Amino acid sequence: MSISDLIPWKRNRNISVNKSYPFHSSLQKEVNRLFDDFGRNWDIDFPFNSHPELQNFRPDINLAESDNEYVVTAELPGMDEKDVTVELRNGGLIITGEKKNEKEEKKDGYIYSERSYGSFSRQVPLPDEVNPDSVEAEFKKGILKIKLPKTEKAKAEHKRIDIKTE
Amino acid sequence: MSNKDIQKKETAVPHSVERINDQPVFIPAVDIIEDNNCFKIIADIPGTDKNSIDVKFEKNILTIRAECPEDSYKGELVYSEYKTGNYERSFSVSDEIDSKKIEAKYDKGVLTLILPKAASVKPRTIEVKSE
Repeated sequence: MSISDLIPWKRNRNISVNKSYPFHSSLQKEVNRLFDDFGRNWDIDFPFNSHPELQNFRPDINLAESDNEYVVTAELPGMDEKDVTVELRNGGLIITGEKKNEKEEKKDGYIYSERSYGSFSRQVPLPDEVNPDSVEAEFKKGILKIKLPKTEKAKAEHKRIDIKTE
Repeated sequence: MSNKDIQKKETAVPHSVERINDQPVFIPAVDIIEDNNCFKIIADIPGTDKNSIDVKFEKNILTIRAECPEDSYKGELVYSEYKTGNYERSFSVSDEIDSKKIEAKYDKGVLTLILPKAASVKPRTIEVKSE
């Protein structure tokens, strides 16, 4: 494990998104989660981190990056814009919200339950600066999509380095 | 349709079979609720379009299938926790269900199926008469 494995935004860069795998490995997910939880304490301090009961529901996120923007998508089935808060803080994106528990209402009738409920907080560290005024978020079919355009400064900093040959 | 029936059905489906479609297939997480009149199946199928959902009832097997189009974005996916693909899950349903009256609703990535119980199995209160 190299040092870059410990930096959250570099960690998964090398994991290619392989479409031939039918399922996302649950072990991989678990390991990611461990790393995430470990990193939480020093990335951005968030008061809910220490409450395990609030972490029942943990939406899965994807992060895409292009030269101009980041696109974060999160799977939040059954929720809508009223249940979710999206914030930009300390160079990271924070998605918090609560998935309401239908179980509480009809506790007696439940015979099988796999879906999870509860409060959640996900943080996505963004290595490049983003323009907070032009961030767009939309909720469609249970998927939250947040577009974060990079600042001109951040774009300019990405410079291709010429490799010289003799 | 007891809890046991559903679990049995789930393992009996060979998910490791070769598929014709190269899209990954996911088993959506479901909640099943029973009340006096019906069973309710709630399935999380985020990202699917209402028109792509296919609910079929055949030989006492209720199957839900849904297609989820790939996310569109510029650039490359640098971090991924979920993949897009199709959803598929089957449930074995006993004769206690009035199969003609099964209803399906889709909202915000959640599919809700309502399976009304047949009149013959609904609980009945018997009036006690006094002479």
